[in-house]
This record gives sequence, C-alpha cells and structure tokens, in this order.
Amino acid sequence: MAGTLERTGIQPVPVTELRTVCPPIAIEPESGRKAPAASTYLGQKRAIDAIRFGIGMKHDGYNVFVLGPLGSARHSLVEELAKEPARAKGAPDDWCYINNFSDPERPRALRLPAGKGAEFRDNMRALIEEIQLAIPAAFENDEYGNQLKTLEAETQKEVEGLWRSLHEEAAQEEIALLQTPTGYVLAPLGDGKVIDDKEFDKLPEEKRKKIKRSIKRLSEELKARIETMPKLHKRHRERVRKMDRDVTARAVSVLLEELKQKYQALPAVLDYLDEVQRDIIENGQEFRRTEEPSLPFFSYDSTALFASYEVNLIVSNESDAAAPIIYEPNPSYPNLIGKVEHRAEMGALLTDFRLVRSGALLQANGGYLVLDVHRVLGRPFVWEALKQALLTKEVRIESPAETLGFASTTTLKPEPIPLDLKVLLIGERWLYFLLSMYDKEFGGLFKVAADFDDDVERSNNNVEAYAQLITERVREIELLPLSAAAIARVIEQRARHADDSERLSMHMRSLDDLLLQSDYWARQRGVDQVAIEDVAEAIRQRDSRQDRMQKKIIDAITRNTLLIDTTGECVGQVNGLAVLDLGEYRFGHPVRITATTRVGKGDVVDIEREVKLGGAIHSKGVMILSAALSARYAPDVPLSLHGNVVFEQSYGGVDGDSASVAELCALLSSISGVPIRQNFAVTGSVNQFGRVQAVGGINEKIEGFFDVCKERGLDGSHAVVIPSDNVKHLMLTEEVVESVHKKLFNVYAVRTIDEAIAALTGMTAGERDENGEFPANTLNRLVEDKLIQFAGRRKQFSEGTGDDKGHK
Amino acid sequence: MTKDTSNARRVMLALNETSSLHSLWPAAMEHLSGEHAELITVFVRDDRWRRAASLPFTKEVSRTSGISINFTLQRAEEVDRDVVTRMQGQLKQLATDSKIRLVFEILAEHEATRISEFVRSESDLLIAPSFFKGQPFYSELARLNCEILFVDAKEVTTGPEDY
Repeated sequence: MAGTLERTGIQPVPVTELRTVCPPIAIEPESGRKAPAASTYLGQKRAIDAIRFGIGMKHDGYNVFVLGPLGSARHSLVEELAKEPARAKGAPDDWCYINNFSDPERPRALRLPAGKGAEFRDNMRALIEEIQLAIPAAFENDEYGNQLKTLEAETQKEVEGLWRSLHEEAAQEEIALLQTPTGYVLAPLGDGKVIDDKEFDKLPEEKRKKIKRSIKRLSEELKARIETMPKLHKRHRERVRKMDRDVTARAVSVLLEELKQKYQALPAVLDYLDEVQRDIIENGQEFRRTEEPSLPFFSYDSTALFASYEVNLIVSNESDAAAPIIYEPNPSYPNLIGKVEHRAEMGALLTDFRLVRSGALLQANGGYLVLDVHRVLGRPFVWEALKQALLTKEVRIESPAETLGFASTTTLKPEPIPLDLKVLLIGERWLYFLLSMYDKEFGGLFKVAADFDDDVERSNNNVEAYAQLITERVREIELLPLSAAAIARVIEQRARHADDSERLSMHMRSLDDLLLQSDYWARQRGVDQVAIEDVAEAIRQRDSRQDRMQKKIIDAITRNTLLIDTTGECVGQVNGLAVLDLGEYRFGHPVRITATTRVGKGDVVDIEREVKLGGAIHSKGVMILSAALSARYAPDVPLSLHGNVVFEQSYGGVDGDSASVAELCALLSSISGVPIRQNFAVTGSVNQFGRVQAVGGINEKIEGFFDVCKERGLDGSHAVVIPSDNVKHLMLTEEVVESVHKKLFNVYAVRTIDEAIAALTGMTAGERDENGEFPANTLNRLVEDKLIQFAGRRKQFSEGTGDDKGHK
Repeated sequence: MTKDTSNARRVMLALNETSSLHSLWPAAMEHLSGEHAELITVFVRDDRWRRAASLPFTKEVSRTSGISINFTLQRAEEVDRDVVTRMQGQLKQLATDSKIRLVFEILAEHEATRISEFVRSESDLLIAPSFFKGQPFYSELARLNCEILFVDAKEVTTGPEDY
C-alpha cells in the first residue's frame, strides 16, 4: 500500500508529528507559591491589561466586561487584579438609614467615615437605654412633683375662686347654685332651703321679680364661668406640657451633649442629633408610659418609640480595610439593589427604616462589584436596575413593582444613596456581542472589554509556566503532588484540550477536573504522588464514563448495521469522518458518503439539504464542489453534469464543510469510474481551486476511524487522509501513535484535492501539460473526458439529435 | 372633728347628697371593729330638686355647652335617682374594698327623723356630717339614745372638679 502511495508522491505524516510529546518537567512544590499570578494568568496579558485599564480609569462608563469561556478562572483573576487598587483606595464610607422625623416614609441616608457607622449605631443604642432611665427619673424626683403640685394648686385655686365667688354672689341674693350630673340649676332660697312654687307664689310681687332678675343675671355669670373653664384647663395643660418639655430637655441635653461633642466634625450627624433631641422632647411623655393596655392586642409597644432613634447600619467597613471587592453569586433584584422588608403584625405587613436592607451594589460601593452576566440577565428586572443605578450613579432601594409603577400600597421610599463603584461583568463572548448589538446603553456603561484567551502558545517558556500553574493548582486544591512525567502528561492533555499540538488550553475548570481525578486514582493505588499512569487512568476513565454512544456506533458498524467498508474499493463511495459533540465529550466516527452522476445542467444536489437535514455551512461546501468542478475541468464547455451527494444512513442533522473533500472525491470517482479505497477515510474542506483546508476535531476523527478499524483488525492498510494544515493540531492518543509506529495504521496529509483523490484511488491525478491537457491514464484526464462527453450528450439533446429525442 | 375612741359594734352613717365620703368613710372605718361589724348607711334624700323643678322659670345650664333648658319635675327625679345611685355605688365599692357588710337605707327628707329606728342600743354610734346640725331634723338626732359623732366634711364647692 505504501508503495502505491509512493507512486503518487504522498508521504505519511511522521510519527513524531502525530503527538507532540512533552518531556518530563520537574517543578519544586514551593516554586508554585512564588508567583501564582504569573502562572495562573498565563497567556492572558491582553485581558489583564484591559482589566487593569478599566479598574484604573476613574471616569464614568469604564466598567469592565470580562469575556471568555466558562471555567477560565476569570473570577479569580478579576479579584486578584482588583486587590491592589482596592488596598490603595482604602475603605469607603459607612452608610446608615435613619428615621426621617418629618416624613417617616422617606428614611434618610446618613454617611459616616469608615468604621464610624457601627460606633454611631452603638452610641445611639446606649443613648436610648440611658434616656429610658433618665427621663422617668427626672419626672419621678421631688422637684418635678412639687412643681406639678404647685401648678395644679394654682389652677385649682383659680377654678375654686371663680365658683366660690359665684356661690357667694348667689347666696347674697338668696339663690342656691345646685349641681346636677350634667349641669347647674339656680333656685331661690327661703330660710336656707330651696323654695317650691307654692312658697314662691306667696312671696311679694317685688320679691318674685327680684329673684327672677337675680337668677337671670346669675345664669349669665354661670355661663361665663362655664366658658372660662376649658380655657383654664387648656392653659393648665400647656403649662404642664411646657414644664414637662423643660424637664425632658434638661435630662436629654446632658446625654446628647456628649454625643454631639464626639461627632462635632460631622455636621450631618449633629443635625440628626438635634432632630432626635427635638423629637424626644416632644414625645417625652411616651417615655413615662406605664399603664396597662385595655386589651391584650392593644398592648402599647414602647420599643416602637425608642426604635425610631435606632440606626440601621446598612454598609459597614473597617476603617483600615481595603475597598470592598464583592462577588454576588445570586444577583437577584433584592440581592443586588436591596429591599425593604416587612414584619407581620395583627395580619398587616408593617415596615420602617430599620427594615431597609442593602444589596450588593451598596456593599461594593466605593469598590468593585463582580457579577456573572448570564445570571444578571436571567433574573427579572436586574439588568435594567443595574443600568439604571450606573446611569444615575445612585442606588434607589425600591421593589420592582414600585419601579414599574405596579404597586399602589404605601411603603418606604428610602433616600437614594450615591453610587461610586466599578462593575466587572463576567460572561461568555456571545453575550457580550449580543448586548453590544441590541442594548444601546451597554456600550456607554461597559467601555472596557477584557477578552480572555482560550489557550496559550506552547512555547518552552509557557510550558514551564504551565507546569508551575499545575503545581500551584495542586497546592491550592490540596492534591497529591505530580511526578515530572505526570506533569508532562497533563500538559499534553491540555494541548489535546486546545485541539492544537502547538497550544495549551487555559480552561481552568477542566484542568482542575483532570488534576482532581488523577489525584483520586493515585489515592486508589495508595501512593503519595500522582504518576503518569494516574493521569492516563483519569483520562481513560473519564472517556469510559461518557463513551456509551461512541461504543454503540462502533458496534453498529462492526455488525454491519451501519454500512462502513474498511476493505476493498468502490466507485462513488468514500469514508468521510464526522464528530459528535456531547458537551463535555466528543468523538469521531466514519460516515459513508456516496455520489452518483449523469448528464445534467451542471448542478450538484446536496440531498441532505433537500430534506432539510443539512446545515448552511454544509450546503455551502457542496455548492463549492460545482464551482471546483467547473473551474478545474473542461473550462471550454458547459458543465453538463447532474450529481447527487448523500451521507448514507445519516438520520440526524449534518453541518460543517469538513466533508467537502470526501464529497468531491466521491463525485470524481463517480465521474471517472475509478474506485475509491474503502480502507481509507478522508476529512477536509476544499475551495474552488482544489486547495484542501483545515477542519476541526481532527484528532477525534482520526481516532474514530482507528477505533472501527481496530475492531475489525488492523493490518497496516488502513489510513486517514487529512489536510496538511491540520498536522499541527495532531495530539492523537498513545494507542493510535503506537499503531502508526508499528505500521498498523497510517495518517496522510494532503494539500490539494489532486493529492487527496490520488491517495484514495492510488491513481495519479495528473496536471495539465503545456497544451493545457491532462496526461493520458490520469484520473483528471478521465474526469475531463467524461465531462466533455456529458457536454456533447447534452448538446445533442438540446439539438434534438440525442437518443431521447422528443423527451426534452 | 370630734372623735370617740370607743369601739362600737354597729355604726350608722347618716349622709345626704352633699356629704363628702372623703371624711365620713374613714371615720366610720375607724369605729368599726369585730368580725361581724356592720355598717348601716342612711341616705337622707334632699327635696330641693323637686322644689326647684316646681318653679316655672328654673333652668338647668349644661356644664359643657352652657346651654340652658327647663328644669322639669321629670328631670328633677332623674337627677335625684342619679344622685342616690351614684352614692350607693360609691359606698358599695368602698365596702367591698374594706371587706365589710353594708346596709344602705334611703329616707326622704321629711322622713329623716326615722333614723332613730335604726338605733338599737346605747353602744351604737351614729356618724353624721356636722352640717346636719343645721338641719330641721337635728332635734330628733339629738334625742337619740346613742353616741353621735359629727364629722367636719371638706368644704364643698360647686365646680366641675368636685362633682
């Protein structure tokens, strides 16, 4: 077989290029500790520079969107990079919510220097306790009691004086002032007794008239006194109240003076303390309430009064701490913006300023807030609320229903708090591009994109750094140390994960998984160091856990349910290679591609597309085939071919153009009648000029064909033809490499469709000579002759001289 | 206040609607003793309401509004009943608080001399407000065969604070 290919000039890929082996790398465990950043963030200079720039920019809108795949350690990098600027910034101010005495539904925000918030809250608690003792004590002392008695006596004296004078006046005129339950009656007296009508009638006329006049006059006097009474009582109450206020003020001012001295540098606090003082003086009597409630559920809650002087500390920072770096893993609306909680009381939901809760925005205020963008977008109202906060540069704690105007119940409207923070959104690239395209505000708010690389160049320096990274991860996760060979094996696997022998994957989650699983298998063996076989076992076991579908397909092929020939030759039939991606696991397998041709109008029908099983890229690949045929063969005659290309026994969707080389080879075989070797499989895309181009999943594809051939028995005839541009991506399994080394399996790399068809048929493709003709006995000559023949036949049909005249 | 220090088994408390219990009740309590101590209160009704109401020009002036309405006989009876009820209620409450048995008797003004009917022995004690001395029935009281203690009541003024 090799001899046949040698006639075509196509050489197999050297064994050394099938898998770029990493030499053992010994790393001292301690060396990983020295520079974690240098290794962990290997190859992410662009992203690091962008994040540093975003963090360093003080202007509005320079928030950062960190792009990259999940599991690429973006969170730890962001937090690491923010640490130093956070230390330099220092702790931001504390924030409290306090009672708004003039409008309790609108709690006021109070700003205090870092560390002072908790102190002020504790000071106010102590003050309340002191006041609860001091005010009753001030009212219980003898001085107050004496003053109150004096006031009462004065008022009583005044009242009694008024009534006594009336009594005396009435008595002088022999009139009695009688008191009924609801009023007074003036009645004439005779011998000290009230006289009745008979006695009155016996009185002289003049006397009777005099009595009536007296009663009338005294009635007016009586009414005047009755009108005076409420005024006297009101005046008395006012005097008592004023005295109470004076007593309360004296008791409170002593206590508050100390606090005012302490916070004299903070005018806002002083203003608040003045308000507290005024309110306590106004409500001083509440501190003295001791009466029992009339009903149990009407119990008087004295704590409610004292609570109005409490301080709700919603953001607290240590004075010597760094600026906060907050990562909110669940950025729901309340967790991000904050919320106003309620407590159930007698079946009603009540709230006050003490139940205002801060969200991550306020917790990170003055520092850095890290959010996962997919979580932000996935939770209702959060994205809009985040943008609103960043645009207005303030946090307004209100429920989404209020924000949207759906709520009609009265609730708190806490004073907005100024916002000054840097938001670092972490998300996948497609989300960044989606937001850039559809959200007009996004670009203005997130001006810095930090794009994480998926992989890093596999240079000597980077391999060394990657080994350090592995050591660092092992130390951090507290795993068994890796031997030098094991580290090398891990690095090889990282190249395989990157689908490129010249690059190393920076997907940290999958690296951690490999290290963890290698550690597990090492511990199963009872050793204290992870060896290369433990890493290999981890990879094998991981594949084994997920390869059910792969095994099913191989089984179907070996039992000829899925028809794949691995021996013999066939015209118009070729083994293509497909990859199935199952998320965390993907594998390749051969697919039979067939082509049929006849005279036609120069179109190649993609049957997958016709039945809507083919994707757009696959259809594009097939259309290129027509162009390639037209460009390469019989340029002077119209392409008079009708070709059909199909993926046999394919019942799912097909996409991608990686089968276009196989499809073109099947077409050329069908046109020329030259059979294709079935012990070969081919992959690659082709352009209009016949240039074979690189495709993805190259390792899985080769291994997929290898597995089928292995099942049927490797004999050295089996081979895979791949684009030469894919050679650098080869990181095949040791088993495949070993088989190639033993000449049981082969991999050929081709640059052109001529090389590919030559490899598959064993027949030289042939190049045009100086006359523009393909040499005789070459595949291309056969193809061109056939196409010219098709064109002639078509011309005959169009002129009506063909065999099928009358059937145009 | 004159005070007899001797203890009496039966104490009679004579009072009318102008009497102040602030003075009379402590005096009665001071002289009650023994497990079966009994207090007989004799309320002497005042006819002044009916007499005042018989006059066609007498009016009642409201304490709160100052509005005056005719003071009729019907209203006089209401006031009288109210006064008696209130006094009886106060006495009952005081008796309950002091854990003593209480007898409450009502006499019309012209029946005041019937107080003598409640006196059984010389050891009985009659406590009465000192202003009873000026009443027509005082001569009857003076002839009673028992000790009489007149108590100076707090000076009564007619005002809203004292009603």
